[in-house]
Amino acid sequence: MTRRAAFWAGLAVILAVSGGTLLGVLWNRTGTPDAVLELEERELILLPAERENSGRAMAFVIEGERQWFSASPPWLDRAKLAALGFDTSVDAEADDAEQHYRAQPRRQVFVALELGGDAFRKYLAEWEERLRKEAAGTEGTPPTPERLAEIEREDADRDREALRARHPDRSKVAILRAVARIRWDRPEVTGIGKLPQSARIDGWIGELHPATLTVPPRLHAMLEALPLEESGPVLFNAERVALLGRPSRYRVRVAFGRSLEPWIESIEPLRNRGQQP
Amino acid sequence: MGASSAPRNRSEAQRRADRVRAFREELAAARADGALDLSPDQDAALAGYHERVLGELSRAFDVDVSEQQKKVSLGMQVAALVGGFALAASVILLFFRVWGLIPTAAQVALLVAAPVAMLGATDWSARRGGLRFSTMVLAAVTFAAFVLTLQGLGQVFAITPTAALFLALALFALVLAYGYELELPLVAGLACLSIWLATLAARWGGGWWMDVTGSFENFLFSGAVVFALSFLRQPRFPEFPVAFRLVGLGQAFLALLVLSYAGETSRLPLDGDSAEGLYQVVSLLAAAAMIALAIARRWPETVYLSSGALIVYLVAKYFDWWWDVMPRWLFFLLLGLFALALLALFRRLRARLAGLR
Repeated sequence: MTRRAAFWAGLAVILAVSGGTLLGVLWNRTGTPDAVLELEERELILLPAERENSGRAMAFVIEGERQWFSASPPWLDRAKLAALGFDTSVDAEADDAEQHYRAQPRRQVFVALELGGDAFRKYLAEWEERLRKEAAGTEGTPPTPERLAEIEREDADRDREALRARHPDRSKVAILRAVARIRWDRPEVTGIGKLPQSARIDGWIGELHPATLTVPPRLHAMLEALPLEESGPVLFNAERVALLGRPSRYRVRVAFGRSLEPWIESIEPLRNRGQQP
Repeated sequence: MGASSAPRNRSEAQRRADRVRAFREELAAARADGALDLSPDQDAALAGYHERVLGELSRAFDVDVSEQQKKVSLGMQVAALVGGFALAASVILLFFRVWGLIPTAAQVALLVAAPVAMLGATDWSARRGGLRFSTMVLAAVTFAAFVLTLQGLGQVFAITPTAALFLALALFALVLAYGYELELPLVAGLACLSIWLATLAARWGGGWWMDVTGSFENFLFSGAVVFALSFLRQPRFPEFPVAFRLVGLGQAFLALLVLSYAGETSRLPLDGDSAEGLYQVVSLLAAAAMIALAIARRWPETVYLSSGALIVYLVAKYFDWWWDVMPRWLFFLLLGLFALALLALFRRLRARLAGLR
């Protein structure tokens, strides 16, 4: 390859790859979005500004966690794992079960995230009851709740169209790519006289993509006007009144495009600097 | 310099310069021993011819024409390497320092323009001649700018990453390597190509492409493919197959080491212990076979790499098997004797390598 050819070939690679990427962005953002959700600070937290990075980003908060979920959703049972492509044919107690399940690689799947689903409403009702009892003096101060936000993993599938068909409300349910894995586990026996526990198979879904969204520079000024808070919002009731912690400072309109790549359309301040919560 | 003896690239030019230098040294030694006597005219004609050849080679290909120059070049190579990494880091950090202050359209324009501008600078430096190390630094920054383009666009638009990203990076680095005859982009290109090949293997195994480290067998595959590519004939780039062999075998040896300790990550239909045992045997055999092949094919660098891998495998297994059961003094005594045995083995290997040069 001559130097002249190298220059033109290099230029062609840069322009082809960048152009293809930008065409993909255009396709994602034109037409009807797959979903448009209005999220508040408790579901989309603003990440701290960094000295070496003038960009600002927000991160999804789902079931109170960001990316690595500690708990498996209750619907992720053996049948669902099989539907996601895992081989669940070997009995958990079989001799080769551990090898069989540990050898199965992680898979990329689509996960439905629901805003204000049934599970959250039930959880919220339990907390309101505990706080009422605390106020009446019939129960001590409850521990800090683990869950901050009302967005949760509702379902998963390998086929995004099938998943959307099961969850057609595009203003409440967003679909994102995520990673699923199957786990085999035999809980350790602790204590004398305890019987060995049976082995179990369960699954895990996490590593949502994307986990963070870049805030467009045109919206930075709005973020600067937000009141400074040391802690995030904690728990709200259905009327958006803070049960614990403070209310959200902003509401964000997030569109999920045709390639399921989301972007921030607008940010609406709910309080400005100087205003009390 | 006659047209028939004109080198086509820097490697050939450097070899020619080395031959001229060796010839002059040997000629001086032969004359000092009285084995040869040239007339002053012959002597002046030969000296003039060699000066002319070395001058042309130096101007056209920036070759080293003396031992001192070679030593300085080595220092310059290290400086270029450090400079390339530092400038590349600077470009990336500068972008993230300012990107929040400019509109999205300007971010995109900057991300696309940066590698184009750096490619232009690399091309200018290469054409100007005599700026070999500057070209190397600029090529490193060009590659980093292209990495930034892909990473930055992905971050601005929350684009789902794909394995093709590594193929694009490999293609770009290989264009820089072959176009401007540079080893550093070649190594970067082969590393990206290896990652892309490993993602292919991960997907064939039914997994997620990004889960390449889930099983190091993915890197056995990519290493084998890159090593196999070293057999492609590259007459214009005689030094490049060395990088293919080192990158390919390096990752394959590392993968074998990991698999011989983490058998449970293997995709073979074996339990973890059996897979580890199998890979322990395979790793020793593979390293020994590669030493034999490298001696037969006259690849000194592959002999060194494979010998290093063989020593690591043997010492690791020796430690695993005997550390707990042997008194410490005996452990180290046997390790010392083992090292002496290796020395004897490598002395013989060295004698055979002398024939390779």
